[in-house]
Amino acid sequence: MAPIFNYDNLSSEEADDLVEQFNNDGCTATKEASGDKWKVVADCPDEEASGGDVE
Amino acid sequence: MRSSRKIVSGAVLLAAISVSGCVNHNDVLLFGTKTNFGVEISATPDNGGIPEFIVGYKRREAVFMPLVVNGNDSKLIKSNTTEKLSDIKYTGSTTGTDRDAYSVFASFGADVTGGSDGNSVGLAQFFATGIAAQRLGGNPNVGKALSVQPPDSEALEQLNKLTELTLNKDDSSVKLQAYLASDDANKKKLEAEMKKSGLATGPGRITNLINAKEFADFRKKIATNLGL
Repeated sequence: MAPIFNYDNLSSEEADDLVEQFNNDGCTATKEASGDKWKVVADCPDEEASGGDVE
Repeated sequence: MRSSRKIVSGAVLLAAISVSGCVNHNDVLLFGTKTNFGVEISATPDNGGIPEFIVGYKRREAVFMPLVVNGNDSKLIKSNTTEKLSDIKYTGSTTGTDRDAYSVFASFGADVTGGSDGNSVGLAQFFATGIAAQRLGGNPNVGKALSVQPPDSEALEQLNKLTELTLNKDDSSVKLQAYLASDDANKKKLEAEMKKSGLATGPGRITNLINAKEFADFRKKIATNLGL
């Protein structure tokens, strides 16, 4: 099952940075409000399903 | 190495004879071992001068253990039986009533690690019979020491399954991010280091390594291994 990673209690800048990193890392990440803070939810496909390099 | 090869060959031959027929054998336990170990360190221009560390390890073991006392020159240390020698089997026993065909306790293992912070090779091998085997087998600490999985494998598995993580970047985070940004090829090198440390790889895993508090020790170690 594809893992969904969660980071909570973030500042807006931290969440933006994390979303960018996850998206560059092959995931679909979103920034969501969590009280007066922010959280990032990253849906990352399985390694097998991501079509990685074959060696 | 040559002599050990002969021992191995001889042991295999004797074992084959004892299985195939009723040929008398010597009442001697034979144990043979052969180990090939090689290390190659190179730095090729094609690889940007980055050193490569290759370890090769090959091992063969053979044991011939006589079970039936039927050697030409077999003698009983204490003869208080009317049985024929060929009817008597070597046995192991404890102070109780437990008996087995032969008490044997053996381990063949190796532990090889390499990295910029040092390389080490550990070869563990022993072979015991009789009372020594019984005592080793009854010692729980010996069993723990010979565990097939490393002691921290369970913790590593739990770490790889974590999905709720805490952001806590540090100096190693900055170094690894800069390393990734400097060359597209560095992603594969980083993932290779993660695999060597037992960490899962794939989408999102590098981001977690760089950012999560839970991976702080690993990213410090990996940054060091990468020479950062």
